[in-house]
Amino acid sequence: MFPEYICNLLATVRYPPWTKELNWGLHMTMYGEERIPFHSYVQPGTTSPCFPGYISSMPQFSTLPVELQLRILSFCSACTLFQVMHVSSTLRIEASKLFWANPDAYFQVEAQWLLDGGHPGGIGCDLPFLLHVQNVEIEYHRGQDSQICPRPDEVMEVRQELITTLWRSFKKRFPNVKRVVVNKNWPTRPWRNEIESVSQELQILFQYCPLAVEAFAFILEEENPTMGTRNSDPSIKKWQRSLYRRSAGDVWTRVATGRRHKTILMPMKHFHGPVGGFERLKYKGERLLLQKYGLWPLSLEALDRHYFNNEKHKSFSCPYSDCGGYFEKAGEWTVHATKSHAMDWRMGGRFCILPDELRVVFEERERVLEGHEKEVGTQLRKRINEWNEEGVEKQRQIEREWMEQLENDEAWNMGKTARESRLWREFVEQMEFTRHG
Amino acid sequence: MASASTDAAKVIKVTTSDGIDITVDRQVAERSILIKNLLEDLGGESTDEPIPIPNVNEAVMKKVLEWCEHHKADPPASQDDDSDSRKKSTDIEEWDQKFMQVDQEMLFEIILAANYLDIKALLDVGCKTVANMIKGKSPDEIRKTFNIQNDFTPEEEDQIRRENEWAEDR
Repeated sequence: MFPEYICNLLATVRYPPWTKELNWGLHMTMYGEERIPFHSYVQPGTTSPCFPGYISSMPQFSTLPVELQLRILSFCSACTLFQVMHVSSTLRIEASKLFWANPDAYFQVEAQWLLDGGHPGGIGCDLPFLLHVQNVEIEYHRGQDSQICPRPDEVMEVRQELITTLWRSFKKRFPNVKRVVVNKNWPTRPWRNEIESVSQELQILFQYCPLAVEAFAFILEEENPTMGTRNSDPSIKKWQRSLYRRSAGDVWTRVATGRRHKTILMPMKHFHGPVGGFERLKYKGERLLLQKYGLWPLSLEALDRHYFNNEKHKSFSCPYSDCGGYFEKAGEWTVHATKSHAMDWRMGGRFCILPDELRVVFEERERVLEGHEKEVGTQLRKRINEWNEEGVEKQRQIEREWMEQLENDEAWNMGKTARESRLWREFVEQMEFTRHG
Repeated sequence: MASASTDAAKVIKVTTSDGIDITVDRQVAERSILIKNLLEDLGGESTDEPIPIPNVNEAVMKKVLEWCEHHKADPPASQDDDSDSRKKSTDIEEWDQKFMQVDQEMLFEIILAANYLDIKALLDVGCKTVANMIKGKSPDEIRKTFNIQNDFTPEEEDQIRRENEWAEDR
């Protein structure tokens, strides 16, 4: 992992006191950012501990004044609110308001999908879900700067129509949106005499963002930059994530450093038919990769807890060879490993640093995930074989089924004719590439 | 040496809904914004007169004053008491947890009394206690705990089925 992404990893790892079990469902990007699938976000936690004499029922609840019922709900977590939404009509109304307005949770969507027009077929999540979402995080990738503001001959052009498409799709798909964060997780040079951290391209993008939407940019920037170091090697700089808010007059103010919000992956749609069956493999593969990446930070926590938990406090040395690290307190190892050994996180045998009893567990978990990946691969191979080895008639049949679904199933509408659909082109490319490759 | 009138102002009397007079330190009683405002309105002249608290009985008032006594030195509630930061956690400090180990009737009465007397911190402890009772429960269990009827329309039931699908790992 590159040094600039260590700040992401530091926000993803768990620190003591560890009050919950290891999160085996941890999802993390290859840049160290945590992602929380919706089903984990609303998974009921454990029942709160009961003390002797502690009451377990309160039948008078429904006779409390409504404002007190609401005050009680305001203390409930998202997963509790999700359950309360399914209790009664009255509670559903109030719990829903609080659930969707949770200021700590942003639902993620790819900028590219919005730039492409936000067509149903271009996204793997359930579209009706988007109607409820109030906080959106737009994942803004490298290369999108040059899409919206290309610089042929070093002079910037603003692709206004593309930016307008993005915000039009955004408003159409998220009609109840209140806040948007654009997540730009890669270093760019500040501009305007190196004093504005939010890049020019991003500021231009936000100029077209509806004013009624509270707008934030979550960027990667140098920590305490000093004159003359802007262009130096990224590996010797210290990086941080910062949240900037747009105020009146397009003024950008830093409102927080570090990650304060959760990024939630929206629930997936139903993957029906031949198109759905193929697309499902892509989205499932992406989620599995996030889980595999999540194993390394999880292994750091597991090792820390192995030596420091409620019962034991045992100092230990850094298990990486040629490292003199020594840890006397819970959490020291996690920070050390994140800062000093993050470069090794994707190397083979990455769990060798763990004691045998932990290593076996992590290797088994990795094997399970790899098993799921193989299953995805097998499904893909089956389709490739059908396409390439069962004759022209089979190909025609597959093509007919795809065309029929692309023409009639709104879930896979891409705003183009079936034959011009990106989904069909990608399918054929994958089938043909494998044959020629 | 303090004057007699200043000494008298250090304790006040409240009369509960069941007609019982309770003497209490003014500092303790002023955890209640309602009582504090009443005392300020009286200008310190009538503090010998019991202050009527018609919505709270003796047992509940004593319990509330026990909480106020323990928290008398706490800093006053800040302006942004109702901000999101208040809602971040259902953590309750140990003394308050033990204080709230009461029967459900008393918990209910404490919440109502804290609301009436305008003691936000106590109201929050009560509300957090109830919020903790909801934590980890299914909708059916919440209905049983709080005696709530399932009154969803067929349309709402359909939407809930869909929401439950969102919560599946698929």
